[in-house]
Amino acid sequence: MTSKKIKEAKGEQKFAAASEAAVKEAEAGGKEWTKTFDAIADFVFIQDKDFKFVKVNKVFCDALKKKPEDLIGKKCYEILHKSDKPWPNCPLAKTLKDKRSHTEEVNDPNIGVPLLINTSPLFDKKGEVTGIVHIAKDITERKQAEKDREKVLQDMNERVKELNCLYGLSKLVEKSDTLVEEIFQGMVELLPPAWQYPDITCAKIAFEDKEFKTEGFKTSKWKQSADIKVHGERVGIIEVYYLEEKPKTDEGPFLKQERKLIDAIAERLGRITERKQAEKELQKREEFNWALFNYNPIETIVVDLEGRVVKSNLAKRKFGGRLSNIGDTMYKDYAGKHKIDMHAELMKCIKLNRLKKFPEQKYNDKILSITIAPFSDGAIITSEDITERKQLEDALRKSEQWFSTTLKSIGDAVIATDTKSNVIFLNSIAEFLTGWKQEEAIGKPLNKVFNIINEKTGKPAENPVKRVLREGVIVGLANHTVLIAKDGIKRPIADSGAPIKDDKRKVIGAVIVFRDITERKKAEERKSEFLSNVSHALRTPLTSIKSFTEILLRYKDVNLVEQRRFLATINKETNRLTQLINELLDLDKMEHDELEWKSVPCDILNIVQNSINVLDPLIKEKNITFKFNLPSQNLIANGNEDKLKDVIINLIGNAIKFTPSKGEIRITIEKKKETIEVSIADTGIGIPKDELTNIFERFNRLDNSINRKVTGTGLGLYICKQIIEKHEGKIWAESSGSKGTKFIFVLPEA
Amino acid sequence: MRKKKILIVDDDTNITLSISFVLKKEGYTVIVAVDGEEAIKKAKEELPHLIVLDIMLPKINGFEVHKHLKANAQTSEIYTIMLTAKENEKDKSLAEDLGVSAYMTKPFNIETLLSEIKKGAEDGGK
Repeated sequence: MTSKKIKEAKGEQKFAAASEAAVKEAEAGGKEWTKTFDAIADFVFIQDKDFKFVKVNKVFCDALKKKPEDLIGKKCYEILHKSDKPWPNCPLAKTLKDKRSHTEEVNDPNIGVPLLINTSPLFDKKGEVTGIVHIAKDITERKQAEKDREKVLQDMNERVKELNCLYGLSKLVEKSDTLVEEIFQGMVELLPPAWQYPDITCAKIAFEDKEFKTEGFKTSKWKQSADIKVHGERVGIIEVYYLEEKPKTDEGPFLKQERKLIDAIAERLGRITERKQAEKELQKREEFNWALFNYNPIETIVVDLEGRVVKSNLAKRKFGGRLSNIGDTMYKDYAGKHKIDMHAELMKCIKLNRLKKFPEQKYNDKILSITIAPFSDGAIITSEDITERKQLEDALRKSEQWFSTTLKSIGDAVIATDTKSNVIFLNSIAEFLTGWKQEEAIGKPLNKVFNIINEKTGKPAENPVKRVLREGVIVGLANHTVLIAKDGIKRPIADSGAPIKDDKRKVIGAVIVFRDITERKKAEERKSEFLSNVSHALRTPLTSIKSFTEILLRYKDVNLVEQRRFLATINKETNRLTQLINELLDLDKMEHDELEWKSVPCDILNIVQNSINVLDPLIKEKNITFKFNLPSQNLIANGNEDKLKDVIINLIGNAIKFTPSKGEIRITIEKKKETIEVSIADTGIGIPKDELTNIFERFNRLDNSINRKVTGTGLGLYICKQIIEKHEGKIWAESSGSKGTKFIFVLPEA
Repeated sequence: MRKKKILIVDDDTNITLSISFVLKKEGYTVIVAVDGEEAIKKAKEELPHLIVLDIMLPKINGFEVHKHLKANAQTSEIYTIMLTAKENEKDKSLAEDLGVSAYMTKPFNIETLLSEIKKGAEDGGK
């Protein structure tokens, strides 16, 4: 062993020095040596080959509480190890054997203290080992220090493992897109290595309804666990198991630090879960906000505090134009098509942090509804193109106006109701016929406003709307219905009802249309009366013809005079029938404007003269005197000469019929302003005043005995009136009771 | 056998003439009236076996004449044939309601009228 090495071997240096000194002293055998020997702080003793003490130093003796003489000659193992055999690990034996120096640590419980022992051989001149120098040092303190250091190292190792575990967890969490499940699975695998006995450690993390386990996971009674809490609520647990029994430490076999670690991990996992949940929420909210912004059909632009475009949504980008360019200054970088300075408005809104709406902004040919909503970083500008809506609104308003006007001006009465048959609309005709104003009728049950009864029974009639609403069908015109107006006036009406349907064909109300058919009823009555009259007028001559014909056929002994009389009657009645039929046909043509008028200048005086000539046989028969008041010049009217002649013959003929024999008829023709007036006055029985207009009606024959004796169709005066009116003239009759009748007609002069 | 007496009421002389001619030929005694007033007067005076009565008559119409005669004990049983040019259901049912014996419309068949008169004159004849 070189000196250098000895020096390096710190603790052992002393032994080496002592050993050398001992040898020297032994060789010299001087007293000084003994002194030195005793001064050595370590235990030093020399033994012979038989383990017997030869020399011992003071320190050794003091430690054993013995005197040197008590020890010399005794065997060391008997004294030190309390044994009858040498200590098995005794370096002495080794030195004896290999004649070399040995250093050993000896820890014999019988000695009580750990010792570092150095044995060195003593040689004689022949080179044989004669004894051994034995130096022992109490290394209790050193041992303790070593143990302490080891403990610190072990603790540090544990801490490192724990740190490793936490570090591993941090690494797992580092990536933002790591799923909670991945973190938990990674975590559970990090647990065993952080515990004291990784090889026999299992771990499990239960979280909500999931479990994460180490490979070959088993449970045991040696368990350490910690709850995972989220917002103070237990959502999971971490469990660590030792599969073998281990010495008890702080918490069963587990360490205080492991408790801290598991708690820390549980807390960490709880926080991670919270954070992940929050991140998820945030992400969802961000996605929602983004979607809300981007897919909003209203064009939206976000600008910064300077009014520069930050982003625009899909609608805006689709709308196109330069307005969607990021970085442009809103409303400023474009040729302003707005009527007002929108950029100034925008900046004002941002500055005052005040929302402003521009409901109807004209932009080019569009109408926009713009809203500027400022926020901390700028403003959100939404602009909605309401051009189409505006147009639709206008169109709708026009259509409503049109519809309302149409309904108001429709010729029939119209009432609309809702599905509960309450009135919602009345046009003016309906107002007139029902006597209800729309304002007072609205909301009232239809039955009240549209009060109808059956014409024949007088009982309330079923309201057409009832059926319309019940069956959703159109209810056709109903006859024999009478409407009672608010003021009690009754009018015959024809009504029909129809459902009002929405675009889904759902009945949303009903409408009834009705009209006053008083006139139609009257017309129908007139027609029926006319037919009855025609029938009567035809039957009368027919009856005579048939009767006399049958008589002539039935009786062979009718004398010749009578035969001729009967035949004459038959002939006369046949003529009457023919005349009647012709008149009826003429009338029909006239009433239907089918009679063609040949309008030519007619000399009225001439026509009167011709008429009188035609009637001459009759005049002579009754010996009637004619008197005339005639104009000095000819009077001309434009018209149909034949028809005017018919009128004059008819009037003079009537005058002759109703004037008694030898009576007088006066005919006056005069010019009055631009007209020609013709009057024919008889001296007959006259006409009651209240009949003067009726006589111009069809089939209106005066009911008097004289009239019965004269033949007539009942159409003559009516036809006269039609003809005169066709000539834009007028005809009337005057009578002063029993002193005759005067018929007058006036025609415009040509 | 005494001749049956028949009153013909009509304002149309052709009708009274023709029916009178036929009835005389058939052996009846004939009286004629041309309006309602005359009809009532002659019916009361003459008490005919049968009346041929028009409806549309001057002064008093046929229905009124009939009602009048019905109301009078002397004339209430006279067989009445209404003969009219008015053909409508209303008049026909009114005639039935008033107890008119027969209702005929113009133009008529002489044969039919005669058989009706024969029936009436024999049944109602006193």
